[in-house]
Amino acid sequence: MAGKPRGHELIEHTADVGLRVWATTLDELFSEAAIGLVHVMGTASGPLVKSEAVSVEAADLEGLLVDWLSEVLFMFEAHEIVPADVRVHVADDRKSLQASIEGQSTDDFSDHGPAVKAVTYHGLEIRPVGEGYEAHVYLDV
Amino acid sequence: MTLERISDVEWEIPATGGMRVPGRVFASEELIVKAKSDRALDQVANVAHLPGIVGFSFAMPDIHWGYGFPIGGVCATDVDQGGVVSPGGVGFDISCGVRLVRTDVDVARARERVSDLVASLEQIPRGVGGKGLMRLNGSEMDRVLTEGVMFPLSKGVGWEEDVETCEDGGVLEDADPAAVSDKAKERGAPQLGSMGAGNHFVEVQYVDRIVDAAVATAFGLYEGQIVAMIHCGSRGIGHQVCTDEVRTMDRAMQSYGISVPDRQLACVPVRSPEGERYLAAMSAAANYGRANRHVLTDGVRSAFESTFGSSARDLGMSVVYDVSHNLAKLERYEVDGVERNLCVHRKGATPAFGAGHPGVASRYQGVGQPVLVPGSMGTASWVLVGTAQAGGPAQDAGWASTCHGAGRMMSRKAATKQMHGGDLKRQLRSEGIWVSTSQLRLLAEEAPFAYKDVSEVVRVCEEAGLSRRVARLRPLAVVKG
Repeated sequence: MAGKPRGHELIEHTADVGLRVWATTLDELFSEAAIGLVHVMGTASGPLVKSEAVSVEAADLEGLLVDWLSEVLFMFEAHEIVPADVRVHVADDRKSLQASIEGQSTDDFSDHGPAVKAVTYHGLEIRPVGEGYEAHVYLDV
Repeated sequence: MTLERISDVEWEIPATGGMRVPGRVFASEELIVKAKSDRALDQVANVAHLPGIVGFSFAMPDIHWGYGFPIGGVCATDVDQGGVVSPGGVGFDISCGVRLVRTDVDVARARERVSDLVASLEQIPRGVGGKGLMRLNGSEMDRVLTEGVMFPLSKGVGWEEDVETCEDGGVLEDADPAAVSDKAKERGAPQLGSMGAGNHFVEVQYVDRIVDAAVATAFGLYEGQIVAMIHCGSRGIGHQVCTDEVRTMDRAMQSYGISVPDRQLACVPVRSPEGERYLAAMSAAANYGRANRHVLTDGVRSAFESTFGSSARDLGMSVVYDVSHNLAKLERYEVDGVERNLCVHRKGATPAFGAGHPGVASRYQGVGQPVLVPGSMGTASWVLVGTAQAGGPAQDAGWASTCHGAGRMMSRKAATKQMHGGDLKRQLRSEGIWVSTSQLRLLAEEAPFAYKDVSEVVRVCEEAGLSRRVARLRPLAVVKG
């Protein structure tokens, strides 16, 4: 896990699940966080039959991460898309992003973890680390 | 953090820094040690920063680390003195709660048919993305949000009398579907009558011990009888309403001059456009939550009917009670001799109204409101009765609240390291408990050893005067989400 330029892992929390995500750019960090969010619940295999394009805006960078992941969760649950190929462009002012997502259908999804109910602001953090960035975000499961 | 002992079952966190009131934690020596092991007590102190908070920032004995509010947290704010409402004080699973259905099936008869019963209960939708038992067309979603349990009832699902034993008669009148986003409705539309995944379940239990015979009789309970417990909430619609409203308040609170120590505590005055909109949306999602448990009850009754070859009516399957443990409500209390309008947040805490209290269903006016406390698999669950008197000293007693469960003490990851789900399933079977789960891994996450001792939790609630014990329930079969 650690050592790779981009990745995610779970953080211990008594009732819920925390996600630590790292990447070399903010664009990749946001993309990896979306993949990590879905990995908490399960994995999909099969062709990328669904696509979505979305833009998100928020008051600050941390809020943007929460709003983005909330959007991914909404699309997973309501539009039944499992993000696989996620391209994110975070704007220079770090308060908005545009993203395109290609993914499997949730028909091809097998769960191995709890359902994520929501993304929280609790313990939320994005900071520069070495050559890149690291984020902590807690999920309600 | 400083913690001062008030009594054998009560501890105080003195007000320091930006805390507007002290914190009060109901716990024994044993439970307070567990509460200190994570950041739950810091969260009690953080809640004490909320504008307009009255009395204390309370925590029930099953307190554990949440996000923003601790799970097991209770706080009341004075609506007429700029008191705030915080969606984080209700949580994402709006009106998550418990419904208990009684039966006249005895435990010996149920043991003979338990594998068939489990197979029938497995027909109830569960797991990530599970679609519900009841399909809604375009305009019907708004009816669920407005009418609560009255909507499925109008479609012939459930019994008329189920309404009488549902908190608030199964519908909150202040609900406004227009306050709920299209996204939230879109998430919730396919899910009515589904469990979801995680700590939600349908459990077949038997009454193994009666502590208060008179109250048990009033609740229709007796030793050796089978009951069914449903633990579930408002599914995606509640999750999205909370997501939407925390975001709105995170941005709006600055304009009200409010700052909080944790962003997840985002809040605005109850008497503000954002505050009123939240309560209208929360009530709508709560109506969905009650309707969801009502539809799940229909699935449970059907499973019993097909297993035992009798009608649910002949099996005596009436609803003992349906009560939420994640909700904010406007309630009136006398504080320092003055009647006040308070917004009481219960985040993982159950209302506990006593005999004669206006919040108690008419059928139970003489004894008090049933409190339903789910344990975890393999351990007991409890039926308690509320003791809070109308006009009683609520400001020192958790605003008529009590516990809502055992309370986690081990993270999900740590629990899965302790024991594999398959081994746990075999161990429980050897103890006579059948478990059906959508995933073995989730089973280990919810293992009994990941939770505090529920018997100690309910004992402390009784000693602290929050509620009294009525009956203990033991699991026979667990169908997990």
